[in-house]
Formats: sequence, structure tokens, C-alpha cells
Amino acid sequence: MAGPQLPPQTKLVKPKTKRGKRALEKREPKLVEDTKKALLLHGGKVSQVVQDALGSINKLKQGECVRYTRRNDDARPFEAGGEARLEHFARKSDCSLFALANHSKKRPHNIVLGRFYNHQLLDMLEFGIEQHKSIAAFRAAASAVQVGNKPCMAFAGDGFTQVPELKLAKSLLIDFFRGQQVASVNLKGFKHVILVATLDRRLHLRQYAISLKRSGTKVPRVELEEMGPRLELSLRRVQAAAPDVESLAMKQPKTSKKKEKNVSTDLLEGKVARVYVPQQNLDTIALRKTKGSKRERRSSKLEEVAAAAAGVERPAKQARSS
Amino acid sequence: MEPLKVTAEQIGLHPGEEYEEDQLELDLGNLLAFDPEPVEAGGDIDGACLSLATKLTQTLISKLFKLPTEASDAGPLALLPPPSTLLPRAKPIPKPREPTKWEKFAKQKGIQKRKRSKLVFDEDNQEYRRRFGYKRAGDMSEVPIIEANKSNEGQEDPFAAQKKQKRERVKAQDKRQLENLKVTARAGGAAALPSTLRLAASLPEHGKGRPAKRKELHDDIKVASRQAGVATASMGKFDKRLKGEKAGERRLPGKQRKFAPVADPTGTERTIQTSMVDKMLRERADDVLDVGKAVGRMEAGRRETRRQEKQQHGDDGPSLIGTGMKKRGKMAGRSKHGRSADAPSSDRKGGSRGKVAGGASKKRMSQGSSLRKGRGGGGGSKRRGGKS
Repeated sequence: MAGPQLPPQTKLVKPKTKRGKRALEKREPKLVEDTKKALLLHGGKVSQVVQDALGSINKLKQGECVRYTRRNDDARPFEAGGEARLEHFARKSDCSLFALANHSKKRPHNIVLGRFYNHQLLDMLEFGIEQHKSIAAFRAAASAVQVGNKPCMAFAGDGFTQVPELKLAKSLLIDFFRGQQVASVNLKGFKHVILVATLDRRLHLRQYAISLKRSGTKVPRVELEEMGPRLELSLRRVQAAAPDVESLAMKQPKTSKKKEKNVSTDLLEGKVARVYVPQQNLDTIALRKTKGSKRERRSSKLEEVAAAAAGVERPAKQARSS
Repeated sequence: MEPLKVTAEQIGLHPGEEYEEDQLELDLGNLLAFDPEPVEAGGDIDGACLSLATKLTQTLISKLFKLPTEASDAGPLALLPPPSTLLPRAKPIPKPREPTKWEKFAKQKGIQKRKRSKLVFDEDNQEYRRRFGYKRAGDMSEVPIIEANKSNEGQEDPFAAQKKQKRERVKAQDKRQLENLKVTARAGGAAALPSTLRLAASLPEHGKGRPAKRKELHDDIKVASRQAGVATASMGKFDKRLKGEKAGERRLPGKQRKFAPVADPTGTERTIQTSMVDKMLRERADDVLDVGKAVGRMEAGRRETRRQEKQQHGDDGPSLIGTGMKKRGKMAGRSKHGRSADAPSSDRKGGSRGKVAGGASKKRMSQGSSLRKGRGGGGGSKRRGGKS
């Protein structure tokens, strides 16, 4: 297989500063990926509602995002070639999720959520915002939640298993809000839960602050208080991932397991291992001594003579005992 | 007085409402619970959401509290299972780096990388110093005086020569790196290159990356004009000669057959043919000497002779030594059997065939060799000599 042709004269371009090099290294593909960053931006025109909703998503995402505040008339991902601008921004800001807000007569209070694979558009969903209530509209329940706190997530509704668009929505929302991937979590650290319920092709997104109360058992009783933001979204256009790109994107790295030495599997015996047993010295080993196994004095003397004749060394200890 | 009986509910302690087993899809790695049943709002969606969320969270948290824990300063940490919801990756899985030309060669030749200490003893300063880098041992650039000897007497400034050599070494290494990266890029595209490096098209370097001047490109222009000259229907035969163009210059450079002289006292034909054979051999010399393999083969041969020797020894042993030795010989035989029973049979025969054995048996071989050394191989070698 012949690769791409290189120009006859090629030079190596290296980063000019150490800082630049580190920045590039940060962006390179990793085996275990960091939390996905989201790009929050405006399309053509925006309404106050979508602008506020974008702010709420920013809060929910807790800093793992890049927010652009200027309008981008050419960001129309559902139109042919309209995703180029978004992909360009994704590459620049190294984001793999996006939320694009716009507002038009045909699609009022519109928000598009989507994701990229290798800085190319993978899939996206368009929602209309029916209702939005920001964190400020609720009581100060949100004060307990700190930035970087991994949220619990709860989904409810039959739509998430039956409607393909909502299946995608579930996957997308988990990707957006699940936070950092961790191996362990502090049992005192469950501070908030994001609920997404679906009813008649609508999504109800709520966030609650958790307070753990004593229950008389080891497991505490959960009490929730709504802390916002509250979003009610209706489904609009959808673009699912191309099957070939999706299968590429879904490929998970093999977690390298160190090969076990001297262990193999046998068709009949199952797991078979080879064990190294060092050579045993039967002369000095502690065995049960019976009368019959004792050597007579005379024969042992004869033996010694014979051994001396053969020029074989015997252990010193035994020579003394005989 | 009778003791007062108080239930947990009476003092405000009660466990929250939970889902039954198998009603939920749980993904504890993502702290996620999913209720696949339809939502029954009944007009009050806010209340329905709150009760759903409470029940779901209660179930999730009770499951999380039952996970194995690990103590920490901030409190117990629940060890989460890996997430079960598959989500697309943001970027492709990183591929292993293409081996460099040296790495390929070293693998073929069986050269292994060995760990070297960071510090070495510097004789000049009588102290340990770094092997490489700033303030390294034996740093020639720090030497104030270089003694004149036959090799550098009357030559250029030895300090300048050193600097020049260093520059050349760096340049050569840069060239090697570029070549390796080009190979990588040809095999796997630009994405296969390390993220911090990029290959870019450039003009031929004259001076410091300055594009070549017209004067310097004179030869290229000349070639271009000649090519244009023959790019006509008559291959330039009837075209006007350009100013400064010589008569035969426009002819296309064809392949000219050359015949070696029939009678050749200088031996040109011989050198041509031997060089061709050499070239072919070099191209096909894939299995350059693998040191590990060769050592293994030799060890196997030695082991075989030792085995035969032992057998001979065992045959006439008992008559000479008597009962004590007989016992010992038996033991040796038994233990040997025990050790080799786990190895495949081909492995045992390895020595006679001169086959190279696998890693595990190699270890055993090396053990054998050390034993032999301990006993003194003099007698053994004598016997071997006699046999052959």
C-alpha cells in the first residue's frame, strides 16, 4: 500500500518553544482520554432564552468547556458544508462536544448538541427550548456543589429504549455531563444528580442537590432539592453518525494485561501451569527415620572407602556423622 | 419502670424508597441509573420528576454504598467498576511508533538495549559526573589546552575542529531523524507522525532557508529549456537552435549499451561480476548473525555432549563406585527426569538436532553451563575431543 507522496524537499517543523510543545502533547490522542470539552457558541441570531440556556449548560459542564460569544452566521451544521466552521473551531479549541445556540422564526429558541470524532462532526441533535429556568431562579441549593464534583445521573422513560433519536440523546447527554472518569469515588461526595426524563418526545432536564440523611442503616436516606437549571427540550432535527465512522469511534483500546509466565490453557485440563521445583537433596532432607533405613556402621565405612576410591566428594556433614 | 420502645421511624430515621432488583439499568462506573418504564406525570411533571429522581438516586446510592471501599484521608472511597455505557472516543486510539532504521536493524541482529548508569567516573576531575549533558564526564569542550600530537600538528585550530565535528554529528542525527519520519509518514500518513512534529514542503536549502537565487538555479533552467526544446513533434530535430546551445545538446539522453572488452588484462569484467554478486548477497542477507540464537545453538550442542558423557559415566559407574554411588546416581537420574518432564519432548532433543530452544529452556541451559563451570570442564573437553 503506497502512502501519500511527499514533496521532494521536506523539512521538519518542530515546536519553537517548550510551552508550545507541551500544548501539542496535551492534544495528542491518549489511550485513556480526558473529560470531553464542550464548545459553546452562537449561530446566526440568538434569543435571550437560548443565551441563558447556554450559560446554564456552561454551569452544568463546570468549566470543561470553551465559550465563544460572537455570532457565527456560517455555522449551520444541518446544511451541506455548514459543519466546516464548527469543525474548524473544534480543532482550534480542541473540543469534542458542541452546543450551538440560534433563534429563527422557523425554529425559535434552538439549540444543537453534538459531538466530534477526531475533530470531525460525528452526530448531533437539535432541540427547541420550551422552558428554561436558571440556577439563580432557585434557592441557593447549588452552593454545596463544587466545580469538578462528579454528578450522579438518572434517566427515566421508555423513549430512551424505543425511539432512536432519544437513544442518541441519552448517549449524548451522558457524554456531556458525566464529568471526569474515575476509578473510585468518595462516599461523602455525592452532591448533585442530573435527571433526564422523557415524555412524548420531550426531555425534562432537572438538577437536584443531594443531602444524605441518617436512616438507621449503613446506607443513608437521600433527600433532594431542586437547584436548577431546569430545561424542557423538544426534539427537532437529528443527524446520526455514519456507520463506518461510528464503528471507528466506538473502538475501545485494549487494556494491556501482562502475560502470565508458564501458564497455559489445555483443552482437557483447563488451566495448566509449570512449576519450577529446585533439586532436592535427599541426604539432608528431614524425613521420617525408621530403623530399617539406618545404615550399619560397618557398611557405611566400606562405602566411604569406595567413595574415596572413586574420587567423589561427599558432604562434610555426613562424613562426620558416619 | 418499663423501658420505652422506640422505632427508627419514630425518631425520624427511615430508609428511602428504592426500586426492586432488575427494575433498573445501572452503570455504577458512570454513577448512572436508568428506569426504562414510561414516566407517569399525571399533570404534575415537577412532582413526578422529583419523586423519580429521589427513588432513582436512593437506589443508586444504596448500590454505591455496597461497593468495596478503600480508606482515604477524606473518608471511604468506593471502588467503581468500569463504565458499562459505551461512548464514542474523542480521538482515535494512539498507534505504536514506527521503528526507526536502527531499531529495525537492532531487532534483526538481536541487539538488546541495555541500561547504563547515569553517572560515570571522570578521571580528569576525580569524581562521578553525568554521562551526557551539561557538566558531563570527559567533556572535551571544557578542556583548556589540547596537546599537539602528530595527528593534529600543523592542522587547523583543534578547538574549532571539535566544534565542527559536533555540528556535523548534530546535522547527521537531524538527517537520520528526518529520514525516519519520512518513512513513517509514507507508511501511515501525516497522522502517524508524533503530535509535536510536522513535515513541510521546503525549497532547497541555500544558506539559512533562503529560497535559491536565479543564478543558483541556472542548471535547472538549462534542463527545463532543453526539455522544452525537444517537446515538439519532431523531437526538436528541425527546431531552431537556441543562443548558446551546442549541437548535440538537444539529443535525448538515451540508454547506451556498453560492451566490456573481449580481451581484458585489467580484470574489469571480474570486478563487475563480483561486485554484482556481493550486492545480491548483501540484499538477501536477511538473517544477519543473531547473537542470542548462536549462543543458544552452541549451548544446546554442549548440553548434548554432556548428556552423552553422563550416560557413559552412568553405565560403567556402579561397578566402580559401589553402593553409595549407586544411590547417588539413581537420585541424579530421578531429579533430572523430574526437571525435564515438564518440557516438551522436542526441547529435550534440541541439542542433538542443533535446534534453538525457547525462552524457558534457555534459562535451564544457562543453569547447566554454570554447573559445568563449577566442576571444571577440563575432563569433559578431553573426552569430547576423544570422541570426535
